[in-house]
Amino acid sequence: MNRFTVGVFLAALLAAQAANAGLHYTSPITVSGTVAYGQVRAARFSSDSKQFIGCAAYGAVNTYSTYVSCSASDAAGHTLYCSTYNPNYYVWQAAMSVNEGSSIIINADSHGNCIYVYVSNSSTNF
Amino acid sequence: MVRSWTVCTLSAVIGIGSGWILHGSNSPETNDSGALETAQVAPPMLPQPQTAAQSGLDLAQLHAAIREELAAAKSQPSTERQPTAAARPNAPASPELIAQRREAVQDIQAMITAGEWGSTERAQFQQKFSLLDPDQARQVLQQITMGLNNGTIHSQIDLPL
Repeated sequence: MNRFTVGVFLAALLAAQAANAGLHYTSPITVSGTVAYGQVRAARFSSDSKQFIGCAAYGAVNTYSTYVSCSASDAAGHTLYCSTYNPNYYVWQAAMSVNEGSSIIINADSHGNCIYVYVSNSSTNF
Repeated sequence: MVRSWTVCTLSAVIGIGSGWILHGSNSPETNDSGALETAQVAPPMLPQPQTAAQSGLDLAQLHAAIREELAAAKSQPSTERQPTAAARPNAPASPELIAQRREAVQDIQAMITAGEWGSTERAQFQQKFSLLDPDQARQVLQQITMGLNNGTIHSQIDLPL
């Protein structure tokens, strides 16, 4: 019985290891001046309570005004906020493609406009 | 002369006959191009699309119904149409809308001055943002973003906008 229990435990352990196999890396959030980058998942599961990164989009039926905004904070609490009024299709698509497996790069100008939003969704981000 | 007339008549008869045969083979069962083409090529003996009078519909009634639909669409409240004419960038704003916009800008400025930005402020901002004209909207958006970055506005949430 004991051998059976140990066998099941080892099998479960191997299965768990197999589930985490594959190329993977962790990129915590970095904020440097008007640039911020890092992984959504790394921020979410960081040991501190400071890191975050993400984007949002605003649209309403009674207005032609839309915007996209992105934010990031590193472990030290340095933050970067940017927004783009009536962004073009590509900026909008990039912001809206963010998910839990995203790695994001945000670049803002001196007025806080998002001038660059890069999103990659990859298995390596998990 | 008589011979020419005979030839012409014979040719006409053959042509009409061939046409009738080909026409008859183009039945609805074998025609893949749809009912419209069938109706267009159908011989007079086949059922024709009914006119308004034949189907019992009065043309005047039809026009009246269309007029009613158009009138109903025009009288629909502007908030139900998307987007509103007032919200279009180039549409002249009514005095009422201008007053609403002025009030919205004042409210947003008060929130900026208060310097604390949470989910309540975000919701209020977004509600008022939809009222603004493009220049106002662009300006307040930039003002808030710069305030967040220079620290005059403290965000309590990850995505304040």
